[in-house]
Amino acid sequence: MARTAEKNTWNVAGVGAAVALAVAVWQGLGAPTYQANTSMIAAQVNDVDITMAELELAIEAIRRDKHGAVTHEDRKRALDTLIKEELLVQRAVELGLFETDRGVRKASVDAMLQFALTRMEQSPSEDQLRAWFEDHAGLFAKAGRLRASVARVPTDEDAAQFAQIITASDFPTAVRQMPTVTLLPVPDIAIPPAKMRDYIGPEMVSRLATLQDGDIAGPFPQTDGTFLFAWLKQRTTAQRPEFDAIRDTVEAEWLRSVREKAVDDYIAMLWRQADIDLNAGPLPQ
Amino acid sequence: MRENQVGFPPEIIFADALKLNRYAGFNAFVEEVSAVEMCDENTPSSKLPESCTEVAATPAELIDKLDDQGLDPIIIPHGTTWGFYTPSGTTWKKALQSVMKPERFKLIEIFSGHGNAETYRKVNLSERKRLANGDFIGRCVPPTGNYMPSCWRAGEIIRERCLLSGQDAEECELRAVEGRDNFIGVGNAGHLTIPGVETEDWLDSSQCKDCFLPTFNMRFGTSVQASLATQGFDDDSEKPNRFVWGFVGSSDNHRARPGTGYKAYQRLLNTESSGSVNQTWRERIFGETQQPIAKSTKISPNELLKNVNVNMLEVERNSSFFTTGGLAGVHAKGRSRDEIWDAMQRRETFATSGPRILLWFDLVNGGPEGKSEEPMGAEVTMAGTPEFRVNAVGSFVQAPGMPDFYEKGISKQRLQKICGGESYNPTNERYKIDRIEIVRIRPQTSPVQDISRRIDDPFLVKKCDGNADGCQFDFSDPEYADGKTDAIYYARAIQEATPTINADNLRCEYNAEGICVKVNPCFGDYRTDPEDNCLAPAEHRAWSSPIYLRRTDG
Repeated sequence: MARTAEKNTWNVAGVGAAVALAVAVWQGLGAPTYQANTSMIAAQVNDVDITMAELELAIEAIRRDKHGAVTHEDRKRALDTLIKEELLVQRAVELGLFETDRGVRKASVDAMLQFALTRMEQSPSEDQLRAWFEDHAGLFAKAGRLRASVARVPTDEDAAQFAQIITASDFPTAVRQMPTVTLLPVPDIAIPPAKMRDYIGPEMVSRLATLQDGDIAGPFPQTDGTFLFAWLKQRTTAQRPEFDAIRDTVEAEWLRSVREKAVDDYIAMLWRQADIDLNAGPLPQ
Repeated sequence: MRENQVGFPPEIIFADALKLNRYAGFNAFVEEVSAVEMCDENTPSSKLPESCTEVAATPAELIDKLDDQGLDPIIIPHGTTWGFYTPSGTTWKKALQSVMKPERFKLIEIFSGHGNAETYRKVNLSERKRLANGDFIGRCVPPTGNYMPSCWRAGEIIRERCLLSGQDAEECELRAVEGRDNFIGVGNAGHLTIPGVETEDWLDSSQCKDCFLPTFNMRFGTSVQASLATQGFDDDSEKPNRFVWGFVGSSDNHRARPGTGYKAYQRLLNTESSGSVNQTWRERIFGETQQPIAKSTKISPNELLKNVNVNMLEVERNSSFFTTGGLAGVHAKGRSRDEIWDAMQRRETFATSGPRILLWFDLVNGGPEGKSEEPMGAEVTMAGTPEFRVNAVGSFVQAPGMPDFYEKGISKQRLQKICGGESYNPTNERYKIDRIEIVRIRPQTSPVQDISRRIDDPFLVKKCDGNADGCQFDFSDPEYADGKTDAIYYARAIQEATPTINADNLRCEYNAEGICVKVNPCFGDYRTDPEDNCLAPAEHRAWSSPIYLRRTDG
């Protein structure tokens, strides 16, 4: 898929990345211990301002690492580094690195995602949270349980005989009466479907999901020529805990989903604003 | 971390400016840890405030402090054979002193993302002695069988350079001896005594050549088998100290993602492998490469301590030994936290090398009537012939990708971020169990006994018939009834071979005599393609906890 964009878009992204970096530094370092004078410019690089605020943040990074006072040399080094960084970013834009270099692109994307997250709502109201909990009940429900037995029968003749014995009596009787039949090593207790899967595989778990308590189903042919029979002894349905008992968990999950949506929405906004041409031909295999 | 770790300097941070947030976060973390004061050593552990950091210098001290707090912990030694920083020649003897309370340790990690700690091998070890001035002197022993210690290899590197430079054989032999001595003098940092040495120059020295997924620089003296064969005789030769522990596997991948052994993919995501992104960063971290010269350098331990940095350890060669990690299996009565904890306390656990192999191992004729079944981890007193049953089931073959239902609870992007788009995704087909091996260990009855003779590995091998539902067999040991010593048995179920990350470790090229003459390490840095998972076939396995049999008097 070919994607074209105006160079302006990448210039905006480049500036946006620099802004995102400043935001990321701010988040990483926490608030500085003194007030920054945001109205002053520390330097200009090809008409792009490096503000005093950015310089103070960089100096803060040095201060946290030093065990002594920040010197004039330290401040000069911080400003030099910011100027070098700006030169590199501008040059990267000129060279089209944001379009081609994977490492630069990935780092820029990461920075922009952090920027998008700073724009989102941080905490929900109680009503919002309860409504969200009702809409996503499945996320918090405990898994149901299955208690089952699965038998392997070696041949189709044995499978027919097994099926006949079952209709006349029951599953354990059929297993006892046929020495060629083996039971899969399933513990005789109620376990979640995901755990049952470790013992009998995904296909048989799906089969059990269609059965009622006490049902026996089979034969199910296997790739090795054998056959499986399943006996669902008991199913326990999933339960959802009360909201008040797990409120903190619900809020954490809400926050996580909102963060994901914030990123999706931000990218959707950029997509709408961009001029994107798609190649009408087939996608490469 | 508290005393030695410093944050990233500004030059590093601004050289990698697009990751400022991560560096700043790490520096803040280091600052936060360092800011916490050490606890007062004279205050009992139970009386300490929550705002200080407490340490325990020995296992016994750890147990005492936890006892004082009224806790009942499970303390699990891990990575006991990892020779990254552990000195050569380490054994269990110190830990088996009664003051160290060996009886309090219920479990040991037999496999992790750092490799397999099971196997004992008898190799001659170099001797090293500390002088009054703090320096070390020692003797580098020659290779034993197919095991070449790195100190010996150091001498050979110098010899090769010396001969290439045109010196005569006698002079080069002297320099080789000097090279070995200088290597011994600084132990695990011995590689620093060879100027300009590259990772590849060490070939496969100090590595186990025939172990399953061995740890790096394997320290056989602290292997799991050595722990069972060795006993401590400091107090009472009639009742020596011993370890009675079950086995577990763990990840130890330093990725905050346990259980990564389900598939062999994305090596840099699922193992501890990592490294410099390019030559420039490699030099920033490790320093510029020196010129190789035909003479080794003597470095004293004191000099070494003045320049503590990451270069002191063989970080780069170690990357070829990282695996995707193991699993702990538990035979619990239920799925509650308490039931699982109780099972671990009972040692009813088993370990796997990553895949979800299932394993049962029972003594079937325990108890006074000889009719009760005792599970793995049990300690049983009996005099007659023990009878055992083993049952092993192979793990499910994995399908690519993830089960569809995952996306109902979590977004595709997040799944990609967490596990690179690949999760445990079983098909209906199981890998075959190829064979079951039984290991028998008869613990020492005197400290002078050679423990290699106490370990029967394998004691028995059962070749399995490829049944889809696994492999089961019964066996007994009449020699136990006829003998006089205690015995320990554990089962090892071996699955058919599958492609495995770093299964060929250093990827040697061998000459006609079977000697490694060239290596192709699986670097964590830019020198190995990130897409190269360094795959080779390996027979994954599960280890049961041992069953410990004790003698009666009659």
